[in-house]
Amino acid sequence: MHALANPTRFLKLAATIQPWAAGLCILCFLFGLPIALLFSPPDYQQGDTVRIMYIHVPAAWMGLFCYGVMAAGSASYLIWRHPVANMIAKSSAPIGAMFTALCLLTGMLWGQPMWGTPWVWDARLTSMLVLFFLYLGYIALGGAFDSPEQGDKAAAILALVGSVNLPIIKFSVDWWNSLHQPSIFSMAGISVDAAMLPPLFLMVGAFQLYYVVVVLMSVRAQVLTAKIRAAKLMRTT
Amino acid sequence: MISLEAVIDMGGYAAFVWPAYALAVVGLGVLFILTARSVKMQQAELDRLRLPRSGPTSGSSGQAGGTAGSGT
Amino acid sequence: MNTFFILVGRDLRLSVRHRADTVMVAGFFAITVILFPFGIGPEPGILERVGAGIIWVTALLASLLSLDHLFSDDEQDGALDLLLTSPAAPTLVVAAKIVAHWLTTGLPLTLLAPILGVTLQMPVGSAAPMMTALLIGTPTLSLIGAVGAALTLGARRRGILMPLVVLPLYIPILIFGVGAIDTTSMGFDAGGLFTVLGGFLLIAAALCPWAAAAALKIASE
Repeated sequence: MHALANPTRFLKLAATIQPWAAGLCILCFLFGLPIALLFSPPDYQQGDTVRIMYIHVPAAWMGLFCYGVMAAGSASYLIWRHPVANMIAKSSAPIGAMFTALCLLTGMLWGQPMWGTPWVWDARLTSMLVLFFLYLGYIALGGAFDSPEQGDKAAAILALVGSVNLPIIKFSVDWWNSLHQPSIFSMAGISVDAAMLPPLFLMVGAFQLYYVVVVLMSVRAQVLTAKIRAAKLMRTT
Repeated sequence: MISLEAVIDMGGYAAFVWPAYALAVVGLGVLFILTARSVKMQQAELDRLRLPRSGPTSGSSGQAGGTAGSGT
Repeated sequence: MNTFFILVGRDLRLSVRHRADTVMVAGFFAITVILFPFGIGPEPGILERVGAGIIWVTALLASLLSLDHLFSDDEQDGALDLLLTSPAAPTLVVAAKIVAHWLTTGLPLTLLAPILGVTLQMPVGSAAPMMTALLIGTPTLSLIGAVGAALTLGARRRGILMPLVVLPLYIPILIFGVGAIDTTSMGFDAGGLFTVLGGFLLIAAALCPWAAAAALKIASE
């Protein structure tokens, strides 16, 4: 693990992983999308809207997964000053925010035919909305300082504070939701048919591999930025 | 076999299912392109900084970039 | 422990001398609550129903506004660096500032809330649960807010950044704060909800001073 703290060595490893991840990702999409859209059965209650689930649920999972990576990366950055961990944490934030937004938007598209309204203060959707703002706060804080290192550290602390808060927020929102509207229909309440599992797992795999590809790319961009900054410093001094 | 109309129609829910997938394509695509472009631009910037020796320093700027990676 | 009280006393004296902060926060709280009847109409039924929510949301915003000065005044005149390099533990310094912040903002808000509740036509019986909920909840706001204030110290566009960082973390307190008031005024026992609010306070008290001190250390580097 400490060998990977060296960005140059990490990039070498990344260069070997990346094509495989990209290839597998494309493969997952190639199989997953047709099955999700065409060959999987429609739900007996929800009809074809259930196909939105193959985007919605993997996106929700990725939104949480990216926050987990962000918190773990931030912790190892603060504790061991692991520079690559910090770069991975920083790279995960926009990806996680994108997936969280995707989860929210597809949730609205699913809600319209099912609930008759695009937005219901459903416990899960509400938690995802808060998660989205946690991402925005992290990204905004990281970029708000003149010294990039200060921004990195402040954002890392915020990620940890957020990860402590996230279960509390989830618990609060669940309680609040049960108080105000006993959920008649929950999005997760559909009985998942065995035939729905292959496309679901394929899409989760595809999103997960997409994450690997983009995160490695983004870490490369950050290493380059650091090198540019160093090169500029060398020139001016 | 599945007919094309049925696929497009999505059991009457075409207006919800297709936009969901379109959003996914746009979201993933845009983020991918932005990231790829930033890598390309940073690489170009770094190459530009390393190549010309017009800077006031006499030392090799190639070395500067090389040590920078481990120094961060 | 003695250092702690000296620090609290120092901050209290400073805020008494400035006075403006506490008065302005209370003023903001009052005027914002008064805006709601104009916004949603003065029908008693509606105001009564949303009153607890209005009071709490406004209390969150008022607490947020006052956070701006929590560390930045001391940072600008250099006192913060002195405090952090003094033999007193940074966590203790931060805890003292949080206590002083609550005494000058959270406590006045708590005392003011029942009067504003009356203008929102909330039942007289709701004054006690409202004050209890605010009494337990607003210290948590100060604690979490201190972390946000410390993290954003020295940041650009701090005024916009701080709400974005802090408000999502306030949501659980809002939910249970309003829940406790509403449950009591509906005639149910809300003891469990007050306990949850107390639990939040304990967690925040254990973690926030520590996190804020760490953030201040980064800011002063």
